[in-house]
Amino acid sequence: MKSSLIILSVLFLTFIGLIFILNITYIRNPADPYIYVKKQAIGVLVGLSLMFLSTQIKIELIRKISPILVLIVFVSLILTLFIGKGPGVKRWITFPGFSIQPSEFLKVVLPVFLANIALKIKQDGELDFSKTITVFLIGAIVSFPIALQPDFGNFAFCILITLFTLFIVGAKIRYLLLISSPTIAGLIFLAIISPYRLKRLLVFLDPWKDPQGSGYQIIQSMISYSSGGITGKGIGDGIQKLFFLPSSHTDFIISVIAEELGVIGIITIITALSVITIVGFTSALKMKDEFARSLAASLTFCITFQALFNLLVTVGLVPTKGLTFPFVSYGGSSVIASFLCAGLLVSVISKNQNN
Amino acid sequence: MKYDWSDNRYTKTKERKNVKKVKQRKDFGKIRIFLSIVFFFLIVSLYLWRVLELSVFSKELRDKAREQSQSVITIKGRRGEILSRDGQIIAKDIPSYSVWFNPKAVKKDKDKTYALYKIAKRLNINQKELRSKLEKDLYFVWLKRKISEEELKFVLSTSREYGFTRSDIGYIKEWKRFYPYGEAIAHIVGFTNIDSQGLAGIELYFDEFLKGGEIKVSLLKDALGNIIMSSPPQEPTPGNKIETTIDLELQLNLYKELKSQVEKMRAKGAFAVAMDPKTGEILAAVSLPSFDPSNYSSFSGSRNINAQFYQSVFEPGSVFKIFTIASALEEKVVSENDNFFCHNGKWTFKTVTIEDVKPLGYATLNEVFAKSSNICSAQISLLLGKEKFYKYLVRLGFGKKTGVELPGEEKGILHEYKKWYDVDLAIIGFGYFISVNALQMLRAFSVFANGGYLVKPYVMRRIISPYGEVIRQNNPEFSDRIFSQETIVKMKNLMRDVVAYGTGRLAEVPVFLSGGKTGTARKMKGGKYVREYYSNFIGFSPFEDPKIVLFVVFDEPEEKYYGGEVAAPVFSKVVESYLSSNYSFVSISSEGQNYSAQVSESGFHRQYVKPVSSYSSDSTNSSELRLTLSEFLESIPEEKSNKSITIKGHGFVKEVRETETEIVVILSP
Repeated sequence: MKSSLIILSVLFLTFIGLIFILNITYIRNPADPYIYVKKQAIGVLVGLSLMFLSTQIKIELIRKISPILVLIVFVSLILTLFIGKGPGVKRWITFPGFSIQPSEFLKVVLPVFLANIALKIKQDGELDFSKTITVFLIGAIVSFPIALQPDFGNFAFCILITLFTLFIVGAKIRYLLLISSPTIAGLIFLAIISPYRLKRLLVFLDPWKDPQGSGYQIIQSMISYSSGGITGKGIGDGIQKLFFLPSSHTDFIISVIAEELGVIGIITIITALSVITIVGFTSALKMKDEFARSLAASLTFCITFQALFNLLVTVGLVPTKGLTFPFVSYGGSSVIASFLCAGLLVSVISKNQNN
Repeated sequence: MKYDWSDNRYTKTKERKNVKKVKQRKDFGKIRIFLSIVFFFLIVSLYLWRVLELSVFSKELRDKAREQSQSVITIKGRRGEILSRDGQIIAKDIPSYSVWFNPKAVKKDKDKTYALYKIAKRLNINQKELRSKLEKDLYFVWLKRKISEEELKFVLSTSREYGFTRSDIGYIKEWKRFYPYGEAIAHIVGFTNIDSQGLAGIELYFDEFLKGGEIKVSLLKDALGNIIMSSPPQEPTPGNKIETTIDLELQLNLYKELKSQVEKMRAKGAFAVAMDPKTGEILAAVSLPSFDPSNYSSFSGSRNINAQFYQSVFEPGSVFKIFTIASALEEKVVSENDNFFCHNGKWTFKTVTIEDVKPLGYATLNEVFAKSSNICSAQISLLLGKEKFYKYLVRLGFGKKTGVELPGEEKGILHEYKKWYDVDLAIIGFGYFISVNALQMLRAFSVFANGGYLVKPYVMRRIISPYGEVIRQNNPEFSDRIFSQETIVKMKNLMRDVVAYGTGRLAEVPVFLSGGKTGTARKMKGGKYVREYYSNFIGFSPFEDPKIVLFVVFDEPEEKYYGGEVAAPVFSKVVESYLSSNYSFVSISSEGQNYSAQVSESGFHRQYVKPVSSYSSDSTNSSELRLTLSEFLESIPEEKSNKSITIKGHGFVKEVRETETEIVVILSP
């Protein structure tokens, strides 16, 4: 029952995503108007199969092989730095016909891996400061290649996943705060050494400082919201997607939805997101098994907080970061990883309900 | 490796103390998950508050975005043509090109900057202007708008040579307004600014109809600020065509004659307006000095754009006597057989002394009018009385706008009769203490040429959509009859005498004959009448069945200043040429004693009943006599009435050649 609510929400978001990807890219690519939506549909089909497959897998198995999974992803991430392809950044491993973005998959395996380690360490006694920082460093090291790609947004989000997992398994808040402070400093340092990121970071404070340059994307996104109003312009009638809003089918797909479906559309999407959050977290609350509980909470966090961050980016409350909206944004790796996340979540919930 | 992840909190072997501690931690975990939910909804609220702020409360953002964004430009559709009454083009849009460039990109590159200076030189942009454009911190600045195709070719070849990319420089096709007849028709047509907005004349009044549709074209920019112009999704719709009532030939002729007379008489300016008295269609209107509407920058701010024939008001002077006498005849306070005493040229009435140019003693009504006596006109006005006179002036449309569909008409001043002093009544009798515009005068005058009705002047005949359907159409509008047929016939004869024997002899139109009135109105400057004049003539022709009324006014002519000498000749030339090309003379035939001339269009029938013996067949050169054609025709003796008559040229009779069957009359101005 609970898991079917999650599946329903996920399918709803996927459906919205497909419609808007078609709507946005149809006009852009007159040569092959359906190419993006076809690619996304393939991603969705693969994702769906993997989701239903993962609901059949025993959590214990996943837990056991999580170090191996993380190792595979980690190696792929290192690989991207050498053979990766992308517009100025190295995020993808290209195969004939398709490419994979390993960082998306790290977000799936990291919660399993870290919860496992944290609980194992905890078995030997309380999570003191050195143990807490050890777990954190493991998470940070595994994620670090993402920062080198560079993909600042996903790196930051993986750090957040690490911190959240520690939080859920019971690490002391003051340790977490202590760990975060140099992390924040480090993030700022990273931003400073690559000036384009610093510019992005500063621009979100006042996008109008450079409306034609680094503030452009945020301003165009905000214009989408404001021109959509309460009811929106109607599907297909938005103009921001035409020329104005870069990445309108990926990171800023929500802005196009805001323009065409208005506040009403946004509230619908938030409702779906809230369903996943509430079902995910409250199921976790009731679980007796500590690993299942941390896993359920982290996976829920993975899906819903990434979505939240994407939303905050589109309204200019958080600097532009390249985080997609799970299930809705265009991108095969993103959508497959999101389905895997959802599949594992559903699996944990249904297994532990029966207990 | 042993994985024991089963919860050991419930292991019975554990001590109670331990159980309690673990239990506490378990609750702790629950609280943390619960806190996560709360945190989620906190962020959601923050986001939703921001969304509402943007989409509901932030109109400012929309405005700001529009204001700051140069990413959208407007392309206007082709503006509708303005046509003469027979469909010739008076104003049309021709293709032109507007070039833009990207200062941010160009100023980084020395070669490109140099090339831009080179281009600017060819386009006549001065260096200072270009420098200020280059300094702009923008991605899009117009280099120059509306350049020719040739100039564009230079821009393109030079920019290619210096390696400009299509985000550095580019152009769009725009329309440029072109007026093939330039100055000659400027004041009726008006003009547009560089953004194709009508600013005067028909262009302004009918702007809504003429202007084409608008299309917003977006500039595609990447994160680095490169601009790529996207082509418009579709062509903007063209505007509607306007067919005017203007007779192009008459218009050009009027302009030409008026201009040459202005030069000859060393006048400050001149204006004239011609109308079809039966419909109110404005056939031509000229105001001098003029301007070239194609070249907006050359005259913006100049006073020349004032269309004097409806935007200037003045005291009409003697021509106004027409209305004084007509009203008096209609009210039967005078009759054509009355005798008047004109005080031998000088008469003091209360506080004013009125003078005549030609002193008259006792005079008939005919003489009073033809010799333009101010004194007797004042007396007739006094006989008529304030209330009655005022009633006619209101009916004739003075003191209110004619309603012509042109912008900025001045309505003049007609004071209410209760405010008139007796002196005012006296001087209104010869056209002072009232101010009018030329079109008002002509409209009131048309009453005598169309059988007694006030028409509404108009210049727009039809508005035609790009698909050929008529959107709007003007039809003649008439008031109730103002003067009886009897009064009109009397007035026409009085006006005929002005041309035949009086001050307006130079306004005669051969064959067709004309009637009218001269005027030489003193201008008032600084509250005093000075020796500077509006010299004018108002008249109609052909006499029997008027096809045209024309009012010609010269502003401060210096060479001569009597209306009969300055304005009347222009009337004659222009009207004669108009009538002979539109209502061509077919034949003169005889019928017993009467000679009749047939005019093609209206079946106009002219009868001459008074053979005069001044013509003899021996005389071959009558030019000294300044005989008009009509006088000559009237003088053909009976025995020669069966001969056909051929007329060549225009003006006065210069030479007459006679054969067995034919009389050839050669005219010369």
